[in-house]
Amino acid sequence: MSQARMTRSRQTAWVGWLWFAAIMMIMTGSFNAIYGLVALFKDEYYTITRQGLLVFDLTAWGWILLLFGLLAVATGFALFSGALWARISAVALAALNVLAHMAFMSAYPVWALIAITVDVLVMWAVIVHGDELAEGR
Amino acid sequence: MTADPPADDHPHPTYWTGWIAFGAAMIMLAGVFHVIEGLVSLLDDGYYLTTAAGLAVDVSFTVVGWLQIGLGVASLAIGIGMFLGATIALVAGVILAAVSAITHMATIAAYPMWSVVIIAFDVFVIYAIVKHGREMKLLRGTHNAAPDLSEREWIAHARR
Repeated sequence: MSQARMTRSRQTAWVGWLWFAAIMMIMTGSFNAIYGLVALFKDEYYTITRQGLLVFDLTAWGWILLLFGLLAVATGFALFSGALWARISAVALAALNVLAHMAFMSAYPVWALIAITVDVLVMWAVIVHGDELAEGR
Repeated sequence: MTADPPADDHPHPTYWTGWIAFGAAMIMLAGVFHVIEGLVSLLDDGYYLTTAAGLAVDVSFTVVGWLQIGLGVASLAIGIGMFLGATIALVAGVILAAVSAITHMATIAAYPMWSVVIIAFDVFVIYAIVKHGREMKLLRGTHNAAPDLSEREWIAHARR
């Protein structure tokens, strides 16, 4: 079987996980932007208890989450290319986002848990299956 | 395709180390998590939902804090070791992830969600190492063998 045919026949099956990561990244980015906007414009929505938030106040966390969210959406689109820089930024951004949500967790625990879950899915898909899209080229 | 699969000494590093790289990333992320928890335990234990008396074991938050910082630093070191391909790091990673899960069970009352997240991370680390750690051995000393198969061909064979 020729090299060209093998390459073509396998591309469809193998790029799946990276596309999944890209879509998850766009989704978690949109979540983040929503969390951030809510923190900025409707902060009574959050149920912060006496413990408060770590390090920053709600407004600062709002801007951080909004920024991370927009970056994540952009990185998600870049991830469709399978470029190495996009994969590295995706993993780094997802890891940072996990830490941000750890600190933000007391504001809305279940939201933070969802964001962390999706971030780990992104990291898993990109690290374990990330080289597949680039090879398909 | 009826040809024999390629010999075992041609695994491609990128593919075979994927799970280990993931395990390493997760243990390092858990490590940073531990350090942050440790700092909160030491400096701001009012942040927690319970006082030290409410924990499953009788320890002060100061002890818990130093333990968490120690676990965190060790996790980061082990993560780096895993990226570098050290076998000892794989063994240490499993042990440390198990210890981390047990300590977080003991301190779950302080911040249940954090403990749940960390225990989940620990499980990922253990799975990645136990299920896929041996693939590192396949790789060792063989990746200079200049395989004449492309990576995609190898993956296709490995998956079959």
